[in-house]
Amino acid sequence: MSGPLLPPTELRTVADLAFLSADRRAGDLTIDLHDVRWVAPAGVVALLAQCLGAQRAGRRAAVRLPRDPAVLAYFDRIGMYDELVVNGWSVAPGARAPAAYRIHHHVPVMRITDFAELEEMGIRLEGALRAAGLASLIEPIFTVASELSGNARDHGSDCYAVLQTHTGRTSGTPGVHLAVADFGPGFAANLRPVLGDLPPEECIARAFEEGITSHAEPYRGYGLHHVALAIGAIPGATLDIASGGGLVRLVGSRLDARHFADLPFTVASASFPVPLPVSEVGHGAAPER
Amino acid sequence: MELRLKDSGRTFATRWRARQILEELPEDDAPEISVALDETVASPSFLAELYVGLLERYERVILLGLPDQQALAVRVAASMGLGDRVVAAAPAGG
Repeated sequence: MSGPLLPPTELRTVADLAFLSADRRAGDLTIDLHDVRWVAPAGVVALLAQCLGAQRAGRRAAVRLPRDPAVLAYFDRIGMYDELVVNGWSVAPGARAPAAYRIHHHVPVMRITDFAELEEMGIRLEGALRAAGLASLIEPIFTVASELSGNARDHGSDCYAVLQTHTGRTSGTPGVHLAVADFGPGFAANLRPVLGDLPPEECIARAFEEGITSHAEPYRGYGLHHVALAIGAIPGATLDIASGGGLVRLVGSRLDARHFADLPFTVASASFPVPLPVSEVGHGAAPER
Repeated sequence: MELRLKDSGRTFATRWRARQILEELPEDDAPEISVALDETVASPSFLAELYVGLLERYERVILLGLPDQQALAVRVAASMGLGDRVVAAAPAGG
């Protein structure tokens, strides 16, 4: 059996998820979140994808819950706590936090197993964004969510998705945050038959070009290109994708690619730093103290 | 013929719905088809698959709907090199 995977105390970005690559992918999987004080949406979906991937491989997966009540309350509010308990992935299922924590306008973490659920996520996403006064973001955020999740579904993988708004009163970036994770084959495995033996980060980067796809149909290969356009259309918006040992960060029209830890899943995290209505300021961000 | 996307049952449309719509499309000898986009948020993959499927049966696809709803639909057609066969309808009264 491998030892527990120990994260940094704050899982704010995709780059903070490198510790999950230490999983030997044999024997039990244990992730120790005891000392974690911050988990952003990318961390939520990545932790769940790691557990689901292990479970699908016939391994026992277990997460030791954080001791910080603010993080526990966040897990409760976002639906992560229930997902851990329902799947038997929680080490201490009695450790539910009081529901004093508030996070406004979120779509609870969803395991998406078919396209009907993906469209259902769109309806929830619309509700959350309208409630936050951000109806203008419905189309670009649905573009990002549906294309990233749809690609996972096409390759036969369940995926996890979560969306939330932050006020950023004490920390975090004001705006909307969306994360999607799946344990499909990943960009490099899919695209190398088409692109050749490129490094994984270059495979991810090339996937944003028009018409680049592993599929033969003439209508494929345009989704990620329009994801990039959606990100570029909103000032300050960012998209990070880690897959198969590569990490790509898209800011506006600028795309940076680098080698990264070889995670057993693909994770994408989009941030739209739009100002929230004044009425939102002062309510909970994730997690807030 | 006019294809009203909101009649397909959901506000949000993925490529899965494009396949469903194309399979259920009735026989039609007309040279072009109008697609009403109102009350629908379509993903780029949905639009791409819908366009290719419709252009196998029709010479042209006319996009109906408010200008902001058409914007993504027009961009997807242009990026696929289909801008001459997938066109936005002129605004009413214009």
